[in-house]
Amino acid sequence: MNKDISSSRPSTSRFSTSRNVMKEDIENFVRKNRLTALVVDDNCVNRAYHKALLNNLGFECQEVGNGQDAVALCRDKAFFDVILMDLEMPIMDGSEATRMLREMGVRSIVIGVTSHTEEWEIREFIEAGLDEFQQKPLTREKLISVLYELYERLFP
Amino acid sequence: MAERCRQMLKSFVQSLYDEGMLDLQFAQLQALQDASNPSFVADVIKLFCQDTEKIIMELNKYLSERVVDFQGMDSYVHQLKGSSSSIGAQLIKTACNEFRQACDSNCRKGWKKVSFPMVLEGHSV
Repeated sequence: MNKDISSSRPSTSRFSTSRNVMKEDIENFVRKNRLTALVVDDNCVNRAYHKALLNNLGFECQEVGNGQDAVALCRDKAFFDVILMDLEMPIMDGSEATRMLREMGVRSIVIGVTSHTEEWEIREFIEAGLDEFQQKPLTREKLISVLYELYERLFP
Repeated sequence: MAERCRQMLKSFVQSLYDEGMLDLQFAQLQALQDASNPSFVADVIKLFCQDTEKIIMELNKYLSERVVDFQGMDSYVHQLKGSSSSIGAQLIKTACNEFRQACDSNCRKGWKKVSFPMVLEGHSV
């Protein structure tokens, strides 16, 4: 996984007070800096839910229904701080889209989300260039946890 | 009056939890509804019902074939599993998992007997 975690990251326990303070920092930082996100999922219900999760954290969101549209957006110089990428999609799946985005030099944080459970599928998805991976269903807590893990990419 | 309606809704949702139709993921949906998005839950459920109706129509087409294309059905069931799990529709998610197990044994009868009535029941709610 393309994690960029510095060894100087404070070693707070997962549910400590300092972690709660960090969660607030994430939400405040997202809103203050108007971070952007792209939801890539072929299912309209998942897109609506994931978009609401991100909006609730302060992200300004766009959505597309397949990997090809995501690649096209980024090729047209649209930049997103975070991309939520589904795996199984028509036309272009999440693995191929992630691979193409990385080949294009896209530096967005790409979080893979899928309900697939086969280890080989998940490994292939991660190796395509994900920064993080989460099993569906996504929750606010999971999303904050992922952003916390990648905070040094969001908090330069 | 408004309070009475709220209580009735709360009781109804609790009954869905008690019957196993919903799981805790539904609370994630409810938590996203606020003053800036006052009808979020209803909007997403409506979207889910419309989407599920289309998927069930497609699944029915596959099942009506003499030789059932289980692989073709699987992608629709995977979609339904994903969306039902996102909104906490536990019964439908379970039905999807059972279908996939039935698919593994290419058991058409198994799918109809075990999963299909449950999916329809879950959908009608």
